[in-house]
Amino acid sequence: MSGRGGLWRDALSRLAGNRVALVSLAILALMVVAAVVGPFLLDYREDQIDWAHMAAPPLSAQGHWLGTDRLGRDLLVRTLYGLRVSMGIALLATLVSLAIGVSWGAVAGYLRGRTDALMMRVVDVLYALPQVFFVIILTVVFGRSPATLLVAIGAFGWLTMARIVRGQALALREREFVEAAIVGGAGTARIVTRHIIPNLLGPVIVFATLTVPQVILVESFLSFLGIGIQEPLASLGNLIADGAVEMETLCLLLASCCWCSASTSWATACATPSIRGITDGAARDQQADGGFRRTTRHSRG
Amino acid sequence: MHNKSGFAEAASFFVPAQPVIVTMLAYVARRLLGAIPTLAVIVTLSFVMTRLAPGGPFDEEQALPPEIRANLEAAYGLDQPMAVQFGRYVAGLLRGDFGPSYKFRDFTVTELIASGLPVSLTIGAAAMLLAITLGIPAGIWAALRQDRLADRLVMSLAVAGISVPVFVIAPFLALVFGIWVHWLPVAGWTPGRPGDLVLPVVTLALPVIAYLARLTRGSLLEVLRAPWIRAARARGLPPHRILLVHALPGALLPVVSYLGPAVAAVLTGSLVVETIFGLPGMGRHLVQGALNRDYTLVMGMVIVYATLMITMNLMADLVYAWLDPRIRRERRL
Amino acid sequence: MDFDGPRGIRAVDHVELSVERQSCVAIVGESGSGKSQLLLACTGLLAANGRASGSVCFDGMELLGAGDPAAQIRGSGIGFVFQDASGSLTPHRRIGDQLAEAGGATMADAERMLERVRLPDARRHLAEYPHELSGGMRQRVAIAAALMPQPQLLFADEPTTALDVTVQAEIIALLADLCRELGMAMLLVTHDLGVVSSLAERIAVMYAGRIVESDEAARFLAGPGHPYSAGLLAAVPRLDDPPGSELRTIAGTPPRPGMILPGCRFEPRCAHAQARCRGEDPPFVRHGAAGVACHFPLKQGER
Repeated sequence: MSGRGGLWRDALSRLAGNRVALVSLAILALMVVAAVVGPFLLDYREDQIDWAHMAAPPLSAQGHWLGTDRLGRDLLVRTLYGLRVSMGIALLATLVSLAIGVSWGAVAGYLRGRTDALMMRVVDVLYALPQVFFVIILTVVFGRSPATLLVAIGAFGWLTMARIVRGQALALREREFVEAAIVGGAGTARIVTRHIIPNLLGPVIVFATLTVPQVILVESFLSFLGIGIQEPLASLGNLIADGAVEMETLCLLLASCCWCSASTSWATACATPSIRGITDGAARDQQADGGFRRTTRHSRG
Repeated sequence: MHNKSGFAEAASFFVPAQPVIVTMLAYVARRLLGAIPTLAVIVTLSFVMTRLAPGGPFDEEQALPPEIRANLEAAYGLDQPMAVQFGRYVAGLLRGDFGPSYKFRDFTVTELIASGLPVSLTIGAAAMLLAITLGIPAGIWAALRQDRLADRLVMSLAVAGISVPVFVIAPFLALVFGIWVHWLPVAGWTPGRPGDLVLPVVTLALPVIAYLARLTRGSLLEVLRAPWIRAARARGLPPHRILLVHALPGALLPVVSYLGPAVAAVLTGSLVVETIFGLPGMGRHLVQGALNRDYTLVMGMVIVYATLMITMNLMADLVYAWLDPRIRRERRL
Repeated sequence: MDFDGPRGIRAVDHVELSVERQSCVAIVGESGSGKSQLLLACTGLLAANGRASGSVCFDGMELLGAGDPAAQIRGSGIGFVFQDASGSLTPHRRIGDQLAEAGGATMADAERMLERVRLPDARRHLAEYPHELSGGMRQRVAIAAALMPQPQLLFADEPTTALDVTVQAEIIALLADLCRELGMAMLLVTHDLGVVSSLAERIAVMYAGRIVESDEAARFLAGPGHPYSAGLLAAVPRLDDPPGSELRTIAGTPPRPGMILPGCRFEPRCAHAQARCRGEDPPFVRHGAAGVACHFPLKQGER
């Protein structure tokens, strides 16, 4: 894996130069820290009901920075918990996808031939299924728990991963060190685990970071509809849904609608552009380079 | 083939030569045959998953005496072996019968689907049309003013549109336009009041507009770098002609191939939009079915949605194949 | 001519050139000498990060300036033939359609032009797409496309470099004949001296972004004034060289665009270089019809 250090350093330095990416990274880090540490610093728990202050606007009541919802639970804490839940599920589901996808793709790419064709056929068939709808079916069937959600989302996230990994594995298989391992008598499993997988982790990790926001979106989407995370657990999705409900029944209290939706929507909206901003930033710099190189090639007499 | 205006020329580009039609039909047939197994898998998987559920659909009722339970199950054919149930279900599907709804005892799934389908299709189609008419020109405009204010503005908005999910935009838009400003209604749909549909359609269309704008801009910029564009300029052709006839056809190809996924996004988004704006479409039925654990309803809906997506993908692929210069040029697929 | 980039490259510097009506001028130079950029700049076709300054005068009209004044003369005033023929034609449009695009042209005109560029079976090709033709045929079509608007001046940027040797001669002959028939002037850019000798009335030599010599063709080929030109001519293998003899080359490599040397740019490679050459950039000095940018141009005896 020589030369890898140079590639990483190059990517990092390019990242450092891109302001959008840096800002996004900062926001993301802030949110992660807030989600993990925040609830410990606040006075209220996420399911604690403050009977004295129901549906209070922000800063109006003691210690309720963002106010409370109509059941009297502190919104700031619930938002942070929602962040925790959403990010947690996203990370775990991504890990599940990673595990299945990498194994599947590496084996398929390494074995080639008919096994590969068959394994990829499975991927193709599953790929054609509409993800969200089938996750819905799974939740209908197996109940609406975080565990179901995790498995259901992970069950569809591994497909693209498998394709990418397979492509990499196909290429890696031709490298000398794999041939050396084969000649040295190593078994398939050993070769795959010790030689192939470690060498394709680079792009795989990048892709995995891309799947995290997608999973957050799917999970929030479902929680919003009521099919995902259930009360009293908080997820960004069902927090937004709560806020939306507020608008209709308490439509006279314009302020209440505003803070409920705003606080949770902001959290969701921030999480995804942050991650997108980072990967976009790194990718765009590469693009700009290529473009410029092309223009200079045109420019040469 | 004498001189025409730029638009007529561009239109004539889309008329294939005679032999191409034959190869196109072959391509259509191939793709249709390919779509059928996918549908089959979807139906089978849905069926298997719902039947594998622990417990039955009647578990959530208040405790039923066993005999009534057995009668109910027999009435719905749930006491038959799996294979038989599956066979009956597929037979029903081919007849257009999705089975009865377990929760809405008075309705069959087919009726529920039929009641919701027109609404969903209307807003879906309207959203796609809006997206295409706004997104593509926006992308072209941004590409032509690359790196100037207009471009940066459009692209920033596009990033926002892509990043912010439907279920965040929808409440915000409803809040701003419906409640704060009282311009548009936010819930329900009375047929004959198109104003009710404005917010849902716009909400649905926004992510697609954003993505189309970005895609078109990037693709057009790419095509404009091609050497033959410079050669066309060197021949003294006017810029609008170069854009329309020499640049756009190639630039729009990636856009066409995005249309399939775009429809999928609109269909998925319609679940949220119909729920939040209280529209009596399929999406809302699906969500309620999911919350009620109404197996047949959910299954039927998923099959309908999946069929819609596959059909749209197929059509997008066909349009792409029609336009793809490789295929048009070589008359081979 | 400046290019903005991370380092701000100056590709072309101090060019003085003129092309008379119905004459043929050739610009000779190595890759990277900036000759293609010169042509592009004159017609306003530079890449987005390029900037041209100075004056380009076509038939009394200034072509450089804000707002792309060159747009008016592209095509009908100055035609352009590019090096890469397949890059000159839009792949998804038929040849006939592309030729007939110029204002007021009909299919019949297009067919006649194809015949004029000696493309056999012209009518059939009208309905074909560019990729269905061979390289040489594509270049003929590209020439036809450039000539459709009946330009007064034709810029030809290495029109034969990408073609087979056998086809090269044909294309060059074609260009020469066309210029005569149509009463057209031509500015031909090439790195191939053999091409130049048969075609050009005047020859200009570019090196490292400057015109270093300009002279009538016959006198130039008999004996150039600039050491670089002499080296170029000497480098052309001759049929009467004894077999097994080494190719004569000019030692060293040309400076990269952006490397601005204080003195003469050819000095590092010049066999006749002296102290003055390193410190002082020689100006382009005219003697009648000839001009050379050298402190110590080769005299008659040395040529």
